[in-house]
Amino acid sequence: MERHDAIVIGAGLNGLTAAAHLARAGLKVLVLDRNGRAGGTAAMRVIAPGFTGPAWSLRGAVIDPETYAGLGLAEAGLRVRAVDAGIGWLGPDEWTASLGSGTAQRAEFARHAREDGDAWRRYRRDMLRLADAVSPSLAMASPQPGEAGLAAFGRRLGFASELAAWPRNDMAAKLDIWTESIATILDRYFTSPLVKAHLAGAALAGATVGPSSPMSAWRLLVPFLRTGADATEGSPRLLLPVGGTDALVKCLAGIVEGAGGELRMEAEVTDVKLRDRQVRGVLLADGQEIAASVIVSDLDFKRTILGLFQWKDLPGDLVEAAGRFRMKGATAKLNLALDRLPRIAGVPRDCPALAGGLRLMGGLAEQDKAHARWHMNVVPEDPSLSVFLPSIVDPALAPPGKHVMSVLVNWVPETPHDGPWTDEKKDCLTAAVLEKLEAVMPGLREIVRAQETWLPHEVENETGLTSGDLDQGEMTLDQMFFNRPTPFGAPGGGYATPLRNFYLCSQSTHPGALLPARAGANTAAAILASMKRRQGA
Amino acid sequence: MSGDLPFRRHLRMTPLHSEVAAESRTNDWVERNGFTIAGHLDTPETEVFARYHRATLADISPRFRYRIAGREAMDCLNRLVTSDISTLEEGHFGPVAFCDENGQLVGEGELARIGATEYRLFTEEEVLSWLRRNSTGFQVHAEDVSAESAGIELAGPLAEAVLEEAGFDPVRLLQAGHAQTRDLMGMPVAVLRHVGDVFEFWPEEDDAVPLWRHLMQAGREAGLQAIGERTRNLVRIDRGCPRMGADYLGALSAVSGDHVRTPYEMPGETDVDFGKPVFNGRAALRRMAVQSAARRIVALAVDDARDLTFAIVCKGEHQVGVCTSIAFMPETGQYLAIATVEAAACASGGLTVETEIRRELAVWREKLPARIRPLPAKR
Repeated sequence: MERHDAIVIGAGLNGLTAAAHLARAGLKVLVLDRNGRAGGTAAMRVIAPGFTGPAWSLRGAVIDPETYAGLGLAEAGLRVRAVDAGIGWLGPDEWTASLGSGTAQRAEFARHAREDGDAWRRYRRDMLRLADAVSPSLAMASPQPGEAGLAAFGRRLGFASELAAWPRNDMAAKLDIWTESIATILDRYFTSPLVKAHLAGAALAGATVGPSSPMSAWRLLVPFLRTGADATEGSPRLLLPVGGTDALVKCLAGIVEGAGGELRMEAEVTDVKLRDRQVRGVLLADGQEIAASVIVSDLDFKRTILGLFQWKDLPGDLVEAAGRFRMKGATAKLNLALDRLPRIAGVPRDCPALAGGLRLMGGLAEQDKAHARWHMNVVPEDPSLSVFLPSIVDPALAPPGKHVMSVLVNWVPETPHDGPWTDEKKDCLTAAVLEKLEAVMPGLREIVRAQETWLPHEVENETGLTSGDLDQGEMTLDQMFFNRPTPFGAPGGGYATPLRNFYLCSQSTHPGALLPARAGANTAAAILASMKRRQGA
Repeated sequence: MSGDLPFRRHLRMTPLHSEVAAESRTNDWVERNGFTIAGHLDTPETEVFARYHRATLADISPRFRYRIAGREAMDCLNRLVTSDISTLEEGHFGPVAFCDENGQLVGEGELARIGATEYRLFTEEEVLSWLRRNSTGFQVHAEDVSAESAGIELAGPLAEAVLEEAGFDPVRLLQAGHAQTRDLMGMPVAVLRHVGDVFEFWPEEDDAVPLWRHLMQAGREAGLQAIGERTRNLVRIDRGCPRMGADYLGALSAVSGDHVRTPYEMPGETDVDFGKPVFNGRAALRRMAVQSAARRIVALAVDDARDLTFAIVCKGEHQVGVCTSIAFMPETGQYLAIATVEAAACASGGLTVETEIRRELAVWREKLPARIRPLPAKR
């Protein structure tokens, strides 16, 4: 029987990152994926001949350098581009931009409210301070509350002494970011409704919460968590791979293959073989069995537990936990192939922030309304859009002078209140999105050469992602840190499972959407640490 | 409108830019508070000589100016600053420092009393949002008036002679510490006189160029030299004045608490008046006043004239501090620096700096002795 040191199920970015780290450590790794194109939810797609863009997600891969540290991506040929983080648009005279230069960012916000320029410094300072406090817990398995042993005791002691050293007002801020709403936090700094809508909109792409939802504020922190976020005094820039997800996938696959591993596409795993609650290997759809010492799943938590095993072989509480794990589809996706770069009303073509995308989500009140309608499973009539043009970052993704537009439609119900999605309802949504885009980009309709719309359940069918939930499990405090995906009480945090040698590495695990692909790097570290322990014993 | 969009022009030009550019022999420009200003306009030696022995003119427009006015302006400001400003008379100005609730410096600058209920605050960093948040409940309005005026600094031992030649006798006769609006050539100009023959002119934006030209013309006999920011920076380091943003960070922008400073860590004496019952940071400062600060900002001198760079301050083998501003003083052939040093290490001498010395393509390291310089009276 074919045998490998480790099998990774799913060639998403977390799976490939875990595979690359394991391969670099000397393991013979096999990555299996049922799809024809790697990248998972960040995968790209040919929209029309010559036009390629992120298929399901808004931007595809966003790079956090620390996640890939030690892999040698630059030597493997990866090139990245740091771009300003986007534009918030409410009207031709009412738009603002995230800019990397501190002077420019302050002046940009001051354009809308004089003191908001100065407030940016305080906001940035506080976000970076909070990021500093959270960052250590992102680089490893989240400490488990019930964990025993000297090391865990030491960690708790360290945390307690750190807690005691915080000034009292600082402590309040550190708690607020996890409990308050986006709107409450922004109100503490900014006065301009536009600036607030811009920052909230950036934080809410793909979210299942609205700006006034309690416990939404941590989303504002996300851009500041990436390594190097403090490098500019303005808004943290987005680090995007030139060539998109495909370019990153190629480099990661190259690293796996360079170390004697293999990436096998169109190979669907249907079962994980268990004996005495220890995994032995996998069974493919074509009947082939492959053995491995370690198996890692990059599928979402629900699909992993409920889809890869015979339930009777699993501990009952694990099946129950997977069943309870909340995954909600909240986005639809439109991909457009365009004959030229559209003109955005009021926004000059040379605004560098356009490379980071465009938010057409209205003010805070409209965002809240859109979220409330999603809660009631109403198909949006005035859709809330996050737009990204990957061909600005890498012109090679479209024929010369032409462009690809990736549109994430926020707050789209998984199933409408009046019954399942039909072609008619889908066409209505597409028409509403195009109408909104046309209003912001006059003449857009004439330059659309090809278009496609993907609803949450269609994303699920294509990718296997439960409910088409791009976050792979709702990102609320009860499903974050040591609660993600569920408090197992097993060593290795949320990566190890009660099944020996079976690990989870998808975005369903900590830190989830806080740092893309970090879960994959953390899982590899947890596996290697556990192997080292066993060798030592 | 769109031509002024911040992403297009990261750096703006001051109203005096074209005048200053005409004086430039070097085309050396630096950034300050979002403006392009001259680095050096001539050789460092020429500029420094003029500053210490003749007279110099510089564009200081990038400083922030705030107008604080209202019935309760004085009460409000007294809550913000550490010193007691109720004694500040109309037409006078003085240095002020303001802290957050933890006693860390948020800003420093000069506060001028323009009228019974009107003040001007001059600062290095932007503080508008902070001023507004802290004036809640007071009958006072704070606004940024930086864009309304331009700044010209006339300095040096022959500054008075230049003013006499320019026909600005009322300005010449101004006492140090006075801030008054004068009619100069039919233009209203706010004038501040610092100790040590330094005059600041704040004409309205459109009046800046005629005033600059008139002063340049009048100073020809006295050898008036236009200078850039690098020479002004040298003078600041020579006087041992730390600058926010360079030698320490403001409490509103520093991410790490290690880089903010309390008034007690600053060189010289920052005026903290505990006679005032309430002001920002009072309780924290009260606690600090009885402890000795663990680190101090000091002025250092390194007697060496080679091409070298340094940052780390050592005592024996251990690092005890960091230099944050460094400049070469051509008149004495030594490097001057502002550094933050552990207070315990300041006491007994024996400090060194780890230098990197260059000669053509060769680079090597050397530890050179550094002295803590006694400071002239502040400001």
